[in-house]
Amino acid sequence: MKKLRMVMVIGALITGPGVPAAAQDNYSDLNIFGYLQAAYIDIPASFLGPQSTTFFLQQANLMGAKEFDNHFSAFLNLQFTNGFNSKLGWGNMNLEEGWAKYSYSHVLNVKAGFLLPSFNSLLQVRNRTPLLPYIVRPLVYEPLMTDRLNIDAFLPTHANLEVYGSVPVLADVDLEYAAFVGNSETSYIISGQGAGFQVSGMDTSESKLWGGRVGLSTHWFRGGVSMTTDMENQNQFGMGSMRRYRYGADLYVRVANISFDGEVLFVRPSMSDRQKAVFAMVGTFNPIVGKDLDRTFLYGTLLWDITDALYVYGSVSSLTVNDFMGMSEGIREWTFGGGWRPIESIVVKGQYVRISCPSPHFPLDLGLPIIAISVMF
Amino acid sequence: MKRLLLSALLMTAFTVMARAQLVIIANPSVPVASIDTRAAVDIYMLTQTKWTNDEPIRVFSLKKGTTGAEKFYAALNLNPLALNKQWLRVQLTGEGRAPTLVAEDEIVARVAATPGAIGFVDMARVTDHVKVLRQVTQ
Repeated sequence: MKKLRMVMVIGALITGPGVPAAAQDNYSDLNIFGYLQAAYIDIPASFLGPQSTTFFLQQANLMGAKEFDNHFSAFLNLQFTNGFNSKLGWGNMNLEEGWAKYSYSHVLNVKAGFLLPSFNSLLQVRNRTPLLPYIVRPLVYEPLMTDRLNIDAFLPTHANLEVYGSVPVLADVDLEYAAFVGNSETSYIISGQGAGFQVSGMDTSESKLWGGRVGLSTHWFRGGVSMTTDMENQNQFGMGSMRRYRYGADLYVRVANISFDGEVLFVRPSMSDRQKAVFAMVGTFNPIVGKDLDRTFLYGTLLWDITDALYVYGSVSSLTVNDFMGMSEGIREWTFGGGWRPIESIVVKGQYVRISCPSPHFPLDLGLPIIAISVMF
Repeated sequence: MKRLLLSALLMTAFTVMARAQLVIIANPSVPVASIDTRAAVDIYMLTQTKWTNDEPIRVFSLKKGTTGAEKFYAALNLNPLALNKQWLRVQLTGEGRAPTLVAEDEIVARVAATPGAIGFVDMARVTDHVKVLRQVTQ
């Protein structure tokens, strides 16, 4: 009996009277994670180039997040595209994001550094491949198109300071808001060696990017309107700089396992009388020049989560560019695809994309089958 | 007599099953005594990230596909697929951390060991090391 009592006392001392032993997460540690997407694409012949098929590592991102205390945190996002290899001259590596954040509460947050601004809804996640059902994204969000389209002409690609948050307004509805400021479009940024105190990466424009978004959200709905103003660089056409306004609206609705995502975007540069005269003169000599510099883009995607592991979707997008691109007739894209998630961190995707442009100057009608595997780690 | 015993046994089993009640639990450091459904939804949507004393909320969930998880998210009227996407979005945009997914037999210990933690579990598993914030109505 004495032995039994002794064993019980020792047992109690070892196990202790406190909280049961359990792995404790250290939330202040640097949290490193990322994802990659590898693809195989078949590109038919067009004026853009001959027919080609290729495997490629479309994208890999390495991210680090750190919580310093109850208010301050930081985030870094390194992005590698198209099988980046500096020795072989493949792809690109870029610092996509790097910011510090002060969070008072979900009502008020401030981010400073180099960040993706809150403009419409796809912009902030356009490169988060595990989140996207697509392999090839809607036109202006697709890096494969950015050789042909200057993404800055459509979207505010980066900002440097943002204040944002969400305020409860109704039973289960939040009002979301964001206001941001950043450098002008990348053509104003020094990419080589600057003069005097100017170094690469510095903004040389007279103005900055200003913008914001307001919207409403609940767990099955999110919608909002966005706006920016900055300067558009048309120096290469002798028109100088002009103020540019972007207006956007986004909508997400989910009913049971079916969801809809969509956006519209209107870009309206404001030309002075002198700039209008120069533009008209350029148009006199060059038939591919459109009637103004306005651009309009929209897309809509309908997605059905058949099971936890399987989804299918269809999507359409349309782009109208009236400027110097010779694509006034617009570019249309329709696509359908699906994905299968064998385990939580892996998605196997398949997609067929049809891109067409009826322009007499740059006629395009491409059908692209593409498959990919997206891995999150 | 046998029939009577069987009936009594079945009655007891049904009573126990009926009593199986999910509750929202929290670490004792959490500065609230109860939360409403709206707050629970906001916390699991990762839109509410702090307690009233500024302490970050550490969210724990039962693993996907478990009966407890399915019942809990159904009670909050949250679609598990949409919720997963929201968690992924928050994590990949650097806005926060996705909830830690744990098994039913370890969630109480994990919540008890993590300051600011919240989770949910069958009431029968609750211990003195956590506090109950709300009974989940199913």
